[in-house]
Amino acid sequence: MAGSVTSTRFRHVLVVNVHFDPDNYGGATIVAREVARHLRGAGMRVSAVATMQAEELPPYAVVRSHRDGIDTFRINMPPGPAPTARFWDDQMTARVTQIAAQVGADVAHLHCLQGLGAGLIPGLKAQGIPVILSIHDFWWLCQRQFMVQPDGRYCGQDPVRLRQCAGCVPNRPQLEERSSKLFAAVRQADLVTFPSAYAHGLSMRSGLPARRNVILENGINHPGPGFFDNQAARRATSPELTFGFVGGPSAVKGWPLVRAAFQRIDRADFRGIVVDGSLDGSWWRPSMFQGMRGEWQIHPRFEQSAGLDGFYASIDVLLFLSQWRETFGLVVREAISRGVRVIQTEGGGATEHRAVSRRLPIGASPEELSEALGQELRNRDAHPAPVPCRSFAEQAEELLLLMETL
Amino acid sequence: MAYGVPNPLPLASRLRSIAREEGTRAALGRVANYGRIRLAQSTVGKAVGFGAAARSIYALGPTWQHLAKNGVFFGARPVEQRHLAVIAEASLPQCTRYRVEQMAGLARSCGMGFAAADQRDEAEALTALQMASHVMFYRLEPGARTWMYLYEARRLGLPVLYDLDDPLFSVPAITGSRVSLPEILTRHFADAAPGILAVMSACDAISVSTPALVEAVRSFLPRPVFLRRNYADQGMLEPVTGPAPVPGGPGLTLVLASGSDGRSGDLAVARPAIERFLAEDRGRRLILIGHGLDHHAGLAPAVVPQVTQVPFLDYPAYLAQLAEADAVLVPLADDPFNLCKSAVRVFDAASAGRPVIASPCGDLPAAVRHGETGWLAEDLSGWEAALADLAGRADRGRRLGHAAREALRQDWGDPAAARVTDAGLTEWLAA
Repeated sequence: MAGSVTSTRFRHVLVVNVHFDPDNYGGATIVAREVARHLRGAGMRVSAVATMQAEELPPYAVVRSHRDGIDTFRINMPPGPAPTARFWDDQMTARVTQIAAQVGADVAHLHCLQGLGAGLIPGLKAQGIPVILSIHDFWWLCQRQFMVQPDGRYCGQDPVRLRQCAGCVPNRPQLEERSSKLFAAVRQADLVTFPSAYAHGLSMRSGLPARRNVILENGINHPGPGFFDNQAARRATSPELTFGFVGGPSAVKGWPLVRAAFQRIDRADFRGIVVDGSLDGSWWRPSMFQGMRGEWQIHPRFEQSAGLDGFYASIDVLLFLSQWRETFGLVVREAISRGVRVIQTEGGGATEHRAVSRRLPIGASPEELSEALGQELRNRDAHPAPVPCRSFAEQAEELLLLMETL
Repeated sequence: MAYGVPNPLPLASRLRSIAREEGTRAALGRVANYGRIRLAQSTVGKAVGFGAAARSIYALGPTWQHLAKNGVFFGARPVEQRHLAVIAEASLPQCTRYRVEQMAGLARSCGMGFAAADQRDEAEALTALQMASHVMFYRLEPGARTWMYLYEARRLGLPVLYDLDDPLFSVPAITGSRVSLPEILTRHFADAAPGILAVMSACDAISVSTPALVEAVRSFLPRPVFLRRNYADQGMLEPVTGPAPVPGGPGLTLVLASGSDGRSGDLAVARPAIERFLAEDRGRRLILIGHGLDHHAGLAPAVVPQVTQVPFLDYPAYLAQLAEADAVLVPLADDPFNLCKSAVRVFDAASAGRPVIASPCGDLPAAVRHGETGWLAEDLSGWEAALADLAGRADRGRRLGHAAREALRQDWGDPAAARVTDAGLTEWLAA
């Protein structure tokens, strides 16, 4: 929990993210929830707003749940386009501001707003609620959210220019309307935070009109007591090197590259573990490992509060081969802070750490990855020392200090 | 005495018994459900995906399961803010005004937030529940939607109040009513009574609009029952302008309003007196507002030309209609249903600055000071005396009307006053 820092100006923070507990799905959701938990620990009252998709319920119906002192109000999204494509929704704005007023929130911390819409920023501001917007991806610059083109390749614009995006989306006028509305909303935020220098720099160079902006590096949950003992015990009894992959079997997360590399590798004396991060265990099937060398297994999703250390104690090398420049890379920090090696794609916020990791360029070939895997296998016992990373408590403390300046 | 396990009845016999007890539709539903289950368990059924779960009858069904699987089924009741959510059967505007909108006045006077939703609007009703510390169901009938709201309130740990203003749960009150309802409607209401009582039984406390209704509920339920009378809200205390009395002008005008069917039974107690009153002076008029008094309320053909029927519009228009008259008639038959009637017609008249001539039935005597703010007419001679008194007044009853309006403001304007609301209810809302 956050230490001695607390807010003197604000009593009740409304945390908003497309997903929230009990739908703990994706890195931004973990950050939103863990920071919220520490704000709560620092004496603030916390209410959360998120979306849900329940076809039996009418659109905009709200369902509340409660855990660890935080009420989560999930608003049912209307049927229609995917959340990423929903950038403005007046009814959603009305619902969120209704919740904010009713629970008595006096400050808002907004995270990923896809599905909820950027209208929340002016909506909450109109109620006199200061707004902190924390950017987690490039949804504010890119209609496709991750700067990955329809053919699966990273677009690589720097800065992002709307005219170059025209070929990526079906409707150019809508692209301009979207950008115009999102930028107008960002302009009203009292503070915009970025998780890395990379995300900050690209956003600023691309003209994101964040009047006040800072880099607020994300935290992680540090390894718990007993982690390193368990890790050592496992390594002592398990002769094979174990690779770990967290995420879905998608091109954007680099799974086709991983699969092709493990199909080409010339040895099989290792294990692989993929974590099914989906909410319903639907992402992975054993048939997806067909033709891959080594012994592969599916690990069920885990929560930050349970299972995180168990997973990292069971692997030696994290494969982080995202095919876009991620703004942060939570799992990379979780791994290096636990003495787990990382093979990762170059660039973006995921490489802004102090550990030595093996890096490949985005778009690297399976042969290049096979070579890197071979090097790790040849150095089976070259386990690195843990690299200290910032904690969620520290992130929450910095956020509290920033709140005082609003 | 030892009980043996009964032999399982053959399916056909069971179906016959379901059809007899619950109706043909329920029996056919059971057959379909049974068939679905059997087919889902068969090899063929599994192969074609027939084993997939049927859609929940509750819109929240899958969400409840999702919350339960994730260990967050129960929501903690908000402790920092008190906020009342009302989910109402809102198809009757007048009832909604008195029982729902006026509850907002009480909640606010108790320092609570307030939100109300029509029970048919699931998005708003469910949303209101999520942000509430207390919930009130007004006049909800049993059904999947009501059970869903109730279960959701329990999931969220909310105390639940049931509110109503008619003895819809009481077969004696319904069958004892002297209103002229068709037999089929009386049976419909009587058949609905056990279901309404079941919903009331599932709530923590009951609030009702009259002392007689309190007693009626107590005879059925071992639940706290609170009196919450209707009161004069701000809208009723706004000045209503009517024509000034003109001595020697058009004849005296009476008005009678009805919001439900079959009110001619109520009129029976006063009909001869009214007919005589109209017949004495062809310049006198009777205005009938609303429905339930069709065919000129069965009045004698000779006076029908003096009777005007107008529809109920909205509340301000209704008060203006009352103000067109010199006195407001509220005849009520002396029966167990009317025993539970509130004094809203008296309040409406007072709001328009007009006195009532009313039967001393239900809660009306609590709101009428005989000879000061109106007349209480016990029987036919009472009605004749009251009408004669009105006719003898040069001010056409305006002084009584003004006194009624002043009494309304002084005695019935505070929703939290002991006269209006039981202290137990304000304590319940504060808990």
